[in-house]
Amino acid sequence: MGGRLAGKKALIYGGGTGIGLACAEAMARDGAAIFLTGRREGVLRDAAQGLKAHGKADFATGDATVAGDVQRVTDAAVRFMGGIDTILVSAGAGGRTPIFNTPVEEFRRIIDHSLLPAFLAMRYGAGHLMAAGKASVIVISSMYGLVGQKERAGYCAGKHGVIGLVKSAALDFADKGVRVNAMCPGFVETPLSLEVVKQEPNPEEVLQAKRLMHAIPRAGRLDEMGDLAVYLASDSAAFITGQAIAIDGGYSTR
Amino acid sequence: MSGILAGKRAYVTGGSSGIGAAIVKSFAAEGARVAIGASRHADEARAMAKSLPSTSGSHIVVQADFYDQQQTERAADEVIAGLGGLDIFVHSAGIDVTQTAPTHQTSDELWDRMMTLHLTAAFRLSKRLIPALLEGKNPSIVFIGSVCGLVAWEGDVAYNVAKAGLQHLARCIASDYAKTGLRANVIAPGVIDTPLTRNYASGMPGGEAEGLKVLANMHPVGRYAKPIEIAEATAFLASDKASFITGVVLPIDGGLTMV
Repeated sequence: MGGRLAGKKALIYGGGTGIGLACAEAMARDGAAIFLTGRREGVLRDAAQGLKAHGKADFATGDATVAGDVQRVTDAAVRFMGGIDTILVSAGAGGRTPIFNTPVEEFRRIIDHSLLPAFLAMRYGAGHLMAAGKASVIVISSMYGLVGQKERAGYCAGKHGVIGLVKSAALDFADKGVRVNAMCPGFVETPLSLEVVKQEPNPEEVLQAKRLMHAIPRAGRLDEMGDLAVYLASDSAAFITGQAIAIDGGYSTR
Repeated sequence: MSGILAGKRAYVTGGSSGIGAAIVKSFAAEGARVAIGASRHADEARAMAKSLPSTSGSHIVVQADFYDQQQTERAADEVIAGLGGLDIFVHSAGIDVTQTAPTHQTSDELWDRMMTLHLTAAFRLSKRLIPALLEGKNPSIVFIGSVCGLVAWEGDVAYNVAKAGLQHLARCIASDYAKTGLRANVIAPGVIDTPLTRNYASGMPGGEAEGLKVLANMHPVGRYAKPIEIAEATAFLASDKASFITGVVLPIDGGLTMV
């Protein structure tokens, strides 16, 4: 079968649900083999099962903030696909972190979950990516990696940090055939983001406000995230590296 | 095969050569019907219009000199009449610097030419085309900017500022029309392998071959881009696949603006 990613071998962190899974599905439809990882076995098993409709797919559980886990998952992905030429990292943690009273442990937890998965994925995937000759890493940051958000110091710092990591890694890999880019989505309705909204005292109002905050007055769709990920992973984007691409309905433009 | 621009009506200025010609070819291959904008090279554009695949109606050529306001506005009208409406507008027309000079030695004439072709023409065409675009199918504007609109390339003040202006014009349009469904984005290329680039390199110390090597090595990836790489990105941003992307300036520069 053809497809713009025919023959590609993609390892997806946070691939069991939400944006990670949507990107995995889009990549699978365009011909890529997929290896999913995340923390929840049942979720990953169901997701991988769904992907098999399009082609080769498997999974392994692991904590992307733990070096040993990332090393093990990387090895498993290589065994399953015969190499890795695409890595997508959709991992992170959120929560309110007002500057005045946030415990340092909570701040550190969010920073670790924002930065370590992308760092470790590249750290242990590097050899395989370079061996592939043409490879691409995509890290899901956020529009809050580009602008600030009130009472979200941890999340914003983490997502901004991811972009610095992406730019720096892109330079390390620039002459080695590996491109590194970040996607910066606006609000997308995923199981996780809807769960966060539900914790608000007035969830319906909050949900509507989150949709309408974008210049394009709606939430981003999962298929839109998948389409950008496929483009960035494809050889059509061979000259694009070190970029943080807003996919936020114009939120960060205003 | 249908292609990501199947059924779209697109106007590409500067479509007869270089990046613009690559965009025209890519759009036609993806199923769009194209109005090819040309000024001096209308014959080449007409030959291209005939040779390209046309799945949604024959391509047309619209000739205009964008230094002339009336011709610019007439071009927009011809596009809308010729295609029966419009879904995509790409402003790729441009000229490169022929001589580098610091600001105080930059002539008013060069400044005016750079501003008119890159920026004012984009504004005038947008004004005239937006009402038609608003009636189009998921309409989209893509301007071809430059890394020179992001960083201050030495000796190129007029070009740099014109491209920076063009890039902000796209953001303003994105903001003005976000609620209507019209999107506007910019692609900011680094050095691209075009006749203009080869010409520029030939004037560098050591001649064309040496110059091209220097230009390639400026990019962290160690090469410059092929026009097709800009064209495919333009097709992506113009297509419905980029439906949540607006107001973005996307460098396609092999990492040039990162360092």
